[in-house]
Amino acid sequence: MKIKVFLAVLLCKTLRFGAKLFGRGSSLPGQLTLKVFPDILKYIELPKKVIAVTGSSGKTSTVEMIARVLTKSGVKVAYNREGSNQIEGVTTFLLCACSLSGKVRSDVVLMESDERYARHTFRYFKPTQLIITNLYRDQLTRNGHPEWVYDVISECIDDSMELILNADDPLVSKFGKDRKNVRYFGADRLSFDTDKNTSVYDDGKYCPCCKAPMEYEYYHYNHIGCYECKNCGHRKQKTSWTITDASLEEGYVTLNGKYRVELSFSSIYHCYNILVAFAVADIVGVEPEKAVEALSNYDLTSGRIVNFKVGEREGTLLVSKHENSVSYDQSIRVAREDKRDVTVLVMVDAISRKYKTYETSWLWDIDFELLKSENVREILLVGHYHKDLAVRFSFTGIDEEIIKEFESVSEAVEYLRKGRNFIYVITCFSDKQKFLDLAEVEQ
Amino acid sequence: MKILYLYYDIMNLYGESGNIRMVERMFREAGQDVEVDGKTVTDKHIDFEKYDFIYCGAGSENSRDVVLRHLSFFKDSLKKAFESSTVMLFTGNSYEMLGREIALGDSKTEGLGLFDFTVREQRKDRYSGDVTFRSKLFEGELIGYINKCSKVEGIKNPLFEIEQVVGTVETGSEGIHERNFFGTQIIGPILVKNPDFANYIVNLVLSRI
Repeated sequence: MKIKVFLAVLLCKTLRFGAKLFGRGSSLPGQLTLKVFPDILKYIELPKKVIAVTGSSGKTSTVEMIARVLTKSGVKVAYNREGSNQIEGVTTFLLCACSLSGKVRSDVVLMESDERYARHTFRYFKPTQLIITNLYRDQLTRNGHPEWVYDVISECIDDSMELILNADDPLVSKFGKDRKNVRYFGADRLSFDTDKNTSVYDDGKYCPCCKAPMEYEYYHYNHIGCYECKNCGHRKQKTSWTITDASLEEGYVTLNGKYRVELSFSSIYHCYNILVAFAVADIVGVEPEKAVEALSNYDLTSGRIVNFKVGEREGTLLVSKHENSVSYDQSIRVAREDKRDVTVLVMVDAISRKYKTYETSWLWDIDFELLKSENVREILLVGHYHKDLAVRFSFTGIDEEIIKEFESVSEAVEYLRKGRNFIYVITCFSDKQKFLDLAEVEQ
Repeated sequence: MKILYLYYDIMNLYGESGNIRMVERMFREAGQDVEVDGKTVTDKHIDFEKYDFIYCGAGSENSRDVVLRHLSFFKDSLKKAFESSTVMLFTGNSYEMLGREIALGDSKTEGLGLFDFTVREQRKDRYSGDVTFRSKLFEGELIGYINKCSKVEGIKNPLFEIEQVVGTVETGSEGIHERNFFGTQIIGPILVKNPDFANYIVNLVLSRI
């Protein structure tokens, strides 16, 4: 067996080296190694903590943040830094982190896991902790609806692993129902919460367990909030890690009532990522003070937020996800809440870079109505799908005068050179480079 | 003009509300006073016969099961509306409720029996894809999106013919058209994406008032 592990590790490392030389991704070495040694993950020696993160949104950002916090606190972490989150990518990073005897040389293995492939990835080993961030309508072309994804994730869960769940998401917290080995994270009532769900749709309207109407005390955003089903008793659970206070205006969150973290970027998404990183630091045994220090003004390096200039004009590109209305809603809120007058550019040019689809239904789930706001002075609809966007915007009640359409990204950028307002670009990582190549990106 | 938006808050898998927003606008542009009633699983009374147009969208399988139980209380009223040729559009898995039965493995759920088809569902794979299709009712190519885990069998009068697919959906006949009932497994805002279909539906409703 040892020789098998030795060969597999050697093969994978060699392939990884070769793949890097030829500029290939991080999936291929694992993919080829699995062809020769399909069950190799069963034989490698893992550290005591193997922490996996899954869910619809925020996996990559969260994993990067956790890795940074642990590393800064002196914990040795092996993780899939390139976001290759299916079994091939996981195999690559695990085998490459191994000694030739097949022992992972780190204190913690941390991995982002694709929600649909978790059942394959975790066939030969189980994480000690599985963190589930949220379940939203996300890439229906690949995933199916959230309840379907719930069922798919369920297949990889067993009693041995501790679940770390978002208490504020009723579908995610359903994983913890009648289960002992579970802890929760979540946010108490916050100043910007609402009493009603104001989104285009409400996926929290009915209890995911019994489908009776769900009662909410408050909403943080979309269906994320404090809920209770009077029929079956499914409700927001007590949290072990909690955002007890937050101000997006002043840019801070308070964790567990006493740890203040300054935000480098004011978005509730970012707050949840911080909370998860705080929770994992605790699980690994890092002192909270150390974790908080590493988290404060954590610079988002993943390219999810990019500052740029177009001529003299400054702007921020907010990477959202096509086919994921919640992520768009979040970005739209950032633009809306800016006190300055702003220009908002929404770009949908290719729906996905990974697979072929022309699907635009998700545009109708996005709360573009929020852009009907005093501070939003101009809206540019850009890219191949500008007409689809224009039809959607024609239902928002936003004054048509302020909306401009551009099929060509370069024409839109040329147009932007003329104005003065701060610019927000809202688009997907599949499309962002088309804009950024024409702007000056601030490092 | 009275529109019924059936199960608006639970049968709305993927941008289905766009369909209602589009027809509402088109009726208004045709000079109609429009009233949209949203009804859902908590409503105790639904009189299907008082509406000019009825729409129901797609939902998750669990939601569809709950809705089917609720809708069965109003079966007679729905049937009467259908028999008096009320224009109805049911998209995604919502029209599956109106057949003879929905079979999942060995278990069978009785449908409302307006139509004679049967539905075979499974919970392992989803059939998904962008599709182009045509209808005999009007000219032009249509586009849409399917994401389902079921197959419908025994339809005599299909609504569409699927011609091209990017994904795992089969080409061939799709949906159902009986009297003024239009059912299709296509999900999302089909009337927004296809002005020809929207015009056909809207003109049909207008011709009846």
